[in-house]
Amino acid sequence: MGVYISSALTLSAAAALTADFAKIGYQKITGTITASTETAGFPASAANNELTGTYWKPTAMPATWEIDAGAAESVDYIGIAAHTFGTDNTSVAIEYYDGAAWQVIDDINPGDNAPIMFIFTQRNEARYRLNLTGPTVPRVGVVFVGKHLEMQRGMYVGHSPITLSRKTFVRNNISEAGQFLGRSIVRTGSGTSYQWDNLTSTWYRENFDPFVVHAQTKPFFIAWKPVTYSNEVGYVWLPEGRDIMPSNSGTLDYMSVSMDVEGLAHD
Amino acid sequence: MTSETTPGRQLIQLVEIQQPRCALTYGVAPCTAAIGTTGTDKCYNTNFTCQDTANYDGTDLIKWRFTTQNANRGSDFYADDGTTIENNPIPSLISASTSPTKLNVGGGDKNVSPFGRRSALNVVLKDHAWDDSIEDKYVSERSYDAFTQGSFWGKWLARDPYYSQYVCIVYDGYFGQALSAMYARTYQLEKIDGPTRDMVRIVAKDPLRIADDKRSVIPRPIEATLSESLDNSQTSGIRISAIQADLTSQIGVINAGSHVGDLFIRIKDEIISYTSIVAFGAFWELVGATRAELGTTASAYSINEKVSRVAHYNCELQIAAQDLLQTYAGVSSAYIPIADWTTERDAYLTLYDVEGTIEKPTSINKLMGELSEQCLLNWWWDERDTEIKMLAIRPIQGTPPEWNDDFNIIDGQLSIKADQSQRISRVIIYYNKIDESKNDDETGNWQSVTVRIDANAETAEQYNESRTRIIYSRWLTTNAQAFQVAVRLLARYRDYPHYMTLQVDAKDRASWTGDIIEITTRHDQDVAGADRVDFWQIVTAEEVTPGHTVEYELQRFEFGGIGGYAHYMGNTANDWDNATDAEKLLGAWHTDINGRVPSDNLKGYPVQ
Repeated sequence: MGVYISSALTLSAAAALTADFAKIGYQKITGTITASTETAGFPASAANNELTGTYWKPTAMPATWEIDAGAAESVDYIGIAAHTFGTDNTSVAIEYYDGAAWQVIDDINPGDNAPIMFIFTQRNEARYRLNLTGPTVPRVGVVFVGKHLEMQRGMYVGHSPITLSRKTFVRNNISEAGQFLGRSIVRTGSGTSYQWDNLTSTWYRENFDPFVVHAQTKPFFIAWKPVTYSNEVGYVWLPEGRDIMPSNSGTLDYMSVSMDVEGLAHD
Repeated sequence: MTSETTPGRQLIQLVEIQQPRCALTYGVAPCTAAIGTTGTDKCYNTNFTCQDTANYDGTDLIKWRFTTQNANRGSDFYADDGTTIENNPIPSLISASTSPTKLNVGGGDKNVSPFGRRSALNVVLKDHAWDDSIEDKYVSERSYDAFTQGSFWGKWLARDPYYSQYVCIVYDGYFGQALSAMYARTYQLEKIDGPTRDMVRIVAKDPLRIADDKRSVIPRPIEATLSESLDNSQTSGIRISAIQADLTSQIGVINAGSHVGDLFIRIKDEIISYTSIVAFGAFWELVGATRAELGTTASAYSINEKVSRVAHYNCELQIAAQDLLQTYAGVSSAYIPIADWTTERDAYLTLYDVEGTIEKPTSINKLMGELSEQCLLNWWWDERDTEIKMLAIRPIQGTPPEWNDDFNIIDGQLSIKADQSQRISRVIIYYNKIDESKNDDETGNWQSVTVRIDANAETAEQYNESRTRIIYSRWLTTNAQAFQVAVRLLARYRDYPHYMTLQVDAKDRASWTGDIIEITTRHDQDVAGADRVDFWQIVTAEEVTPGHTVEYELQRFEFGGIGGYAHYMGNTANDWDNATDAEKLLGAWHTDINGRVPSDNLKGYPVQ
């Protein structure tokens, strides 16, 4: 589905201006992973790694998946990808434990299997969880819990949203006599590029470069315009051989940076 | 449900590796392993990491599955029945390409063994982080974090280097299909290279590859010598220093003729038969020995003269082939459908009961090639049916599929070539070797020879040259056999054999190696320029874009002009309406005055 800006999110006037700037979810807290139930071969821990091909799958609904950091950790986003919430008609609530009871941050029924980012007012708790309800057990491949990176500038022209950037490689077979014999989709995917200009060099070095280091090896969540286009979230990674490198721009101390990505954005 | 005929079908390919693993639990009886005693950490349930190999029980299985990187959505194939785990496909498959089996019909292609060319599978997989959740029963007890330490293939190879001959299956299908609905091709692992640059390269081949191995020979070399000297006539007191089993094992199959129950040894150029052995001190003495067997001449020999075993066959050809592959190449009996082979033999190859002697270590590949060429049949690995097929060079059974330019052949993907190197005008077959110890090309050492010449083909008006194929046959014994081989080979190869390469859409991919296709194309014309309708036999088949396009190489079929092939039936045989499938396969009935079987309106064949 997309980005869920928590109704409890309180924005200052300045923050309201940047709310629609791209949000990148790459940082993850670490902790002990547990779940209410696990199907054999689908352990809870499988949702705590970046792989989209390994899953947690409960044996019964409702089901919970929890990360216990052991001590309070700042968290303002939860990303979920490679799930089947749409297929299985699953409702998902994200919750934190206040020492006495579980408190709901937000809950939704996404209606599709696309990547999700919950963005909410920063919490400082030790335990967070997903609480799933629905008629059939879904599977969940990726869960990120942590603090997101908000870009310093917005994106305005030239961007092709990842959810609209389908890459479909097809092949047709036509007979010697010109008859249509068959058409196959060889592979599908999503891919796009992002570009930001006029980033201050200090901001880039302090905030964006740590993300670049992460992106060298691991996927991340990204919502390019989370308020205006809340459905357009990707769980993406860099194509092989495409490092992110900034360039200085103009006489002021600004930098520009772009990156190509590919990954999951649809069902 | 998506299928071959669904426009926009989304392709999916999976590679499966079947890895045995121990069914036991570490330290639980009968496993006696114990940390601190047999090792410092628990095993990984592989034979290589086992700490109590005497009790290793590799009956459990992990079916590792890998698929293309963007193809994971909706693939939920996980299963665990308590002994076999089938993991969900890991999206790390970069490519899976094949080099297909190639039939060499009648041994016409001198660049390929008459036994054909083996199929091979090459797979490239990306290496990646892995949490060991499938394969490591004790992952939660380890002192390290499996996901961040090492990689999938780095750990897999370190824990299980004994992967040779593991089953490897490629599934070609469409999203939404069950595995059982996909086309599966089965091979055996040969090697895994890497990880290099975060990739591994896997080579798997068909099970017949072990018949190509230089170590797959018959008779196997033995360590044996005469323990006493021997004159040129004695049949008792022949004493040999050897391992008992090397002298008592039956090498070959003899269930017909005068040598049933006999065993054979060779000393220099002489072959001696015997029926059993008895101990004589530290040596073994032959019982029931007969000197100068199989056309050889008796001589005197000194003590310590080398002794070797000799293989001898006198049986139906499929029994000889089964023994060669199963006993001497180590091919699994599960891959040899001997009942089907016998049915094929009974229908088309009754003439070819074989008798042959193998007096020195000879490769199984060579011997199977000889049987293929000299008994007019093919064996090959059918990766789809997971068995070794045996097919006589014979007329068509049933009604072949029809392919044409309109609805089957893909534009621009058809070519025809004539292979001039395979044309012959004479066949000379030497058979009934006199002295089995002498070389094949000593033509005076053959008791019989059959020569067949197509004189017309050699005239100046036709090909204006003579081309001869010479066969030295250890297997044929009668003129009837040799004559039929010569006639069939000339019929097939007196003109340039034509090969057609074409591609078809996946909707036609049910046809596979060995099948006959009726093809009509503008690229193959008769003398009037009309599209010729002719029969072609598939000699190679390959899914070049799995699930989308299949490429075939076909050879024009020798029996294309013949509609059927029938045997005389007994006077108690059923009429057509009550005939069994077996009777319909081989029998013959007269049609009505309109040339049809009235009850089914089937058209009969003219008698030729």
